[in-house]
Amino acid sequence: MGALRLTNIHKTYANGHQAVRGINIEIEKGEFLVLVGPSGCGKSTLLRTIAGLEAISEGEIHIAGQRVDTEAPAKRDIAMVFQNYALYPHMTVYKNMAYGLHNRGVDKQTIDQKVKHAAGLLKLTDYLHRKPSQLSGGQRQRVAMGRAIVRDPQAFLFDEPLSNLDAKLRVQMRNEIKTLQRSLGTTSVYVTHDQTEAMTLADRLAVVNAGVIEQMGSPMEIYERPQTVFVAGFIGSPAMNFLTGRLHNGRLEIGELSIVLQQPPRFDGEVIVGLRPEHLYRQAEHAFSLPFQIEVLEPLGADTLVWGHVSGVQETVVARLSRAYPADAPRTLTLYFNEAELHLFDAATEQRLS
Amino acid sequence: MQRASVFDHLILWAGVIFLLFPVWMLFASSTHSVENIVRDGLQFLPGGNGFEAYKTALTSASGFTDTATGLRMMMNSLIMGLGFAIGKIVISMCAAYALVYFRLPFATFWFWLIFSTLLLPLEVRIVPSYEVVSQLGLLNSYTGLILPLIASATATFYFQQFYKTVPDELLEAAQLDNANAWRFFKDILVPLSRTMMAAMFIIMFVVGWNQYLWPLMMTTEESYYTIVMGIKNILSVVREGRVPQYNVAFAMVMLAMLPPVAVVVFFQRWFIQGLVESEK
Repeated sequence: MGALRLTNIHKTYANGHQAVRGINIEIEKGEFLVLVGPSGCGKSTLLRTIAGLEAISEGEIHIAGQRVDTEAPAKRDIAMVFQNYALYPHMTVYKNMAYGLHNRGVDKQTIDQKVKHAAGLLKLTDYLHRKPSQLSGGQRQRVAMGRAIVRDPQAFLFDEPLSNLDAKLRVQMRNEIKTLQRSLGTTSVYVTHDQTEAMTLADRLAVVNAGVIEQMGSPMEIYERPQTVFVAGFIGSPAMNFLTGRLHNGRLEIGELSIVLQQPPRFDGEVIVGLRPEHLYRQAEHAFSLPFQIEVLEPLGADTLVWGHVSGVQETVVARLSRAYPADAPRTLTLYFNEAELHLFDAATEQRLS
Repeated sequence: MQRASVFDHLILWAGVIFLLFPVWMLFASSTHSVENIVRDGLQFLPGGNGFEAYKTALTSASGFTDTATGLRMMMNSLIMGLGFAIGKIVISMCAAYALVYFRLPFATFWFWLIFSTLLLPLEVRIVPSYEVVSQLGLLNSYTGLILPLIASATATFYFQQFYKTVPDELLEAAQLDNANAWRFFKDILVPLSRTMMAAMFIIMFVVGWNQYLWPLMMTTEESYYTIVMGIKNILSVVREGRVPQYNVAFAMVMLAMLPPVAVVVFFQRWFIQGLVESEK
């Protein structure tokens, strides 16, 4: 029995917009599930239905074996961390954390003990008597988490909790959330549109698009074997290169390039060929080669992103080459790649072939 | 820079003197004897009577019975002003809460209905209002003085606009924190509205304190007279061919001014503090 089970969840708004269209997820106890997708894909709506802030139109939600979709939010034994923290501005950090317990009739001594414990975990002990306006963004985020921790709920729900922080703090808080969730062992559902956040935090990743789950699996599984063109393009940065090609009797044609695949999928016709920027190499030890015309160089320090064109192919192609690439180097280049790192999709259905 | 600042201050001082001048003349005149005032008109310099007129104004009754002393009338005005302001704030906060946070059927209609009462000030509906209050047996009572005036479209509108700026996440966080509608109102909305309440209190107290027509209609017993009515009563002896006690009337005007001024001074500090600490 999973800690959190979503069965055939549908959410249709009064104006007819279908935000969530039949989602099934079963989350194990202690698991960290990340829902990732572009804005408007329904991931936040899904999270809010779990919290009870929005009613579902169809389906069932079970938390720890109990059906909760008709219960009020407070009765569901979940805690939520909001994007803009949603701290009570007139209450001190202490009161912010204690409010939920106080409203549940927990006695003062227990509240005090739980709040101090959470504050210790989150390094907030010195700030307990400050108001949210006197705290930095990262500290406010910690208070919001503290408010969830003191409740000791069945599940944490995170609604894009890091998007209001600057880049450096985001990386730091990301690690803190991960460490904290590990040590508390609380089941968590985390919504984000940031694929780096999703990859680094998740035990399991669910890529959501247009109200349905496109693919669910471990981050590396999704990275290595994306099942659809959408997932392939969404996970990974910079995004995967897509080239249109044709597959015929195990021979793949991309522009002027024609290669014979060792393990071709049983398919003839139009295909979308996906190739990640980091899987294009300058070293000749890889099986296949591409003539490449450089247009723009983007040095990142450790790597250089090289944008350009492959002759006979319309789409812009980007390659991530390790180390700096000299700006005065020749503008044409031969790039190599492997068959194992090619992703082939049916051009009509956009589903993975193989 | 320096000269500009001197010039600015000159303008400011001119404004202050211009505005305070009538008040000063009232004060100076109130320390003269009635004869002086009648003979020489309003006075610029304080006279020899000191605060005698103030003592008279506070302690001696001006009407037929002994009840309507200045002190008593100040008390009545205070009750009226406080009841008026607090009542309006409480009612409007509740009304705005209902309009913003509850899915009322025809909410927009209710809002406009409340708003349209702005077109019906007391002066327009004074006859029916009097009729209702008299049938309820509330003439000559504080309830009758205050209750018919405390519904306020303006304050409801202000609170409604304010509640709309409170982020929805606060309500959602409170829902998850097991706060019901009452607790959310009491623990979150009311504390957040403090500055708004202070602002409303300043305005409403002054309006309530200065009510004239309604208490005049409502009260026949002198023990319910308000200070604004009292000032008028002192001066109305002119009709009987007597010389009014101008100095006492002036003293009463000065006294009647103090509580509203005190409220403004006190709450303004609170109000500004609230604005500076803006937390939302």
